[in-house]
Amino acid sequence: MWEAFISIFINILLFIYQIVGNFGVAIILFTLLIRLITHPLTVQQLKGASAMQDLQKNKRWIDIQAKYKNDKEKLAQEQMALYKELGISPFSSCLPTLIQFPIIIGLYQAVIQSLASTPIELFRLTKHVWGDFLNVGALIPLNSQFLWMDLSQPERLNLSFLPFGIPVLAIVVTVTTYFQSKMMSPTPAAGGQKDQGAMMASMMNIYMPLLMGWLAWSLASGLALYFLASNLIGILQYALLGKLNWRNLLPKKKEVTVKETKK
Amino acid sequence: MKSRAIPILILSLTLMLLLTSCSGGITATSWPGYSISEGKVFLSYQTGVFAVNLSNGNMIWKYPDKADSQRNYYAPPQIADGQVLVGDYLDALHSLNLENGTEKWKFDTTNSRFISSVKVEQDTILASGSDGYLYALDLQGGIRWKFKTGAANWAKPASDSETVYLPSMDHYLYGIDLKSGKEIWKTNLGGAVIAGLTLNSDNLYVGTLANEMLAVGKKDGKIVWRFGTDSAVWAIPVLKDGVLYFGDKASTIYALNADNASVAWRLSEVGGPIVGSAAVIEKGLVFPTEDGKLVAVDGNGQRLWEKQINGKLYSSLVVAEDRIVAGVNDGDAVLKAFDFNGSELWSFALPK
Repeated sequence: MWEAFISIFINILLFIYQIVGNFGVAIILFTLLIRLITHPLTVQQLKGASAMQDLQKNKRWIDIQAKYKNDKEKLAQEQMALYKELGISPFSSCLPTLIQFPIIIGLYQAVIQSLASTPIELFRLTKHVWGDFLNVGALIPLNSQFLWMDLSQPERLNLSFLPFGIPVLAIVVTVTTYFQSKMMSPTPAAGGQKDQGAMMASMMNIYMPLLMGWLAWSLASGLALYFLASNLIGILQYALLGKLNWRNLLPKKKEVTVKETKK
Repeated sequence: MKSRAIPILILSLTLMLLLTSCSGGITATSWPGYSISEGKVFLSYQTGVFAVNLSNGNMIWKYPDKADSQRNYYAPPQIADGQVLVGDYLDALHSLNLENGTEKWKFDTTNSRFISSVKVEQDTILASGSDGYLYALDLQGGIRWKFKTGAANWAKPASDSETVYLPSMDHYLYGIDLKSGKEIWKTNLGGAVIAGLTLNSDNLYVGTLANEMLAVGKKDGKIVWRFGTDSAVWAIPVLKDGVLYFGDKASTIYALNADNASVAWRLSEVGGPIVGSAAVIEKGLVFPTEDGKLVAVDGNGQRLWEKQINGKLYSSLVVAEDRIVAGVNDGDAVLKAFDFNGSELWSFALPK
């Protein structure tokens, strides 16, 4: 079942490669295609998240929290009743993410399996290819060169005056992941206290870019290119939906508390 | 906010786990490579090269003492001039002492994986590199020349006393002068070649991923004949008494007259895909199939016996003395030895 799912992705990716003749461009177009297909899910996810955020400012929601803070069971019942009344599904923001999850893994697997660099990997790849749809004999070898990169190897830009290679993609992936996560995070309410969730999100904004950067540094550059394309398309997608928080990129002003002094 | 952050955190961590677990695919893997010489089987598999006693399957030595997880070995070792010559799947070609497995010299490249066995012609080592070069070295590891093709070279080069024949992934078959490394001719085969070719006094015989077996003239590289197969041909064909024997990915075995490609016989659906070359035994040939079957046929295409083993068979079979040695993937051993009736004699698993 899963293998058949991966096969669909691999054949689409190789079909694009067959048309454009460049694996780097094929990865970018393939990522764009998948993002377009999953766009309705992204919109639904954003709507759900937005509704949940609005709900937290709702007076009735705040009252319920205060009233039943010591009775978890009753609190849950009242919350559910309010969800139902306002037509909000608490899972509407998570469900699209869950549905997208296997698609992201499938995309990743398609890219990694298509970058076969040994006979056994190539053999397994050819088993995925639909012979009636693609001509394996003409397709192989896949040209894995893109700009200065061999997409089947980790990327380093070697300059004659430097004794080491610069991991350009890893740096760009780290930066774009950071920008993406910052710009997609909701702006915290001014003067509001950071709750546990906000702190966790803040940690993720640091942790995820570093992790993605490390993956881009150590894995085949074809995957790093996919991470980069995915980040840039994601940012563009949010921008088109008007959901980017550019203010999150600006340094925060220190909150000044003015104490009233009694004369 | 809290309600959003927790599922995102869980999903992200799961994604990280899945992505990092997939990164194992970046450390190259393949099927076991091996050759037999002087009563020993020399095996390349995962992080080591092993010498195994052909008579009982006991390990004699192992290289290196301390495994490097980044440096894997799958190319079949070649024995020449008292050396075990073996390329790794990272960037180097190694010469090991035949008796004890200690390293004699190492030829470093920038990033070339060595997929196939090297060929030694007179005093020249010919090594196909995945960086698109064919390297010609002397027996001490000094470079004589290198020849660039249009794509990775996975196939083992063949040679006679004057010319090197290199089938490449770039769909071309090259004739190269052994002494100078200059191109003599090149021929478009129409498909990539994975394993290599076989030759006789006049022709080269090579199978491609474009579902063809071709005969090419040694002198000028002209195509003598081409024969369409059911599927891709991965293995080097076996030439015996003027007949070419090979299998394809669609699990069909072919016996072709080497002169004109007329079909002597063909046998369909013998098991799984056939990736490795057949072994010649006294009564016929034995083919390995991906689904773990050894299929023995006689010279007329009649089945002699079949042996199902635990694991997958991608590697070419090798015959020495009175036994057939098979390399196994995903099984309980890496090497298994059989007699000519298919009875198992011994198996060798990697030491823990």
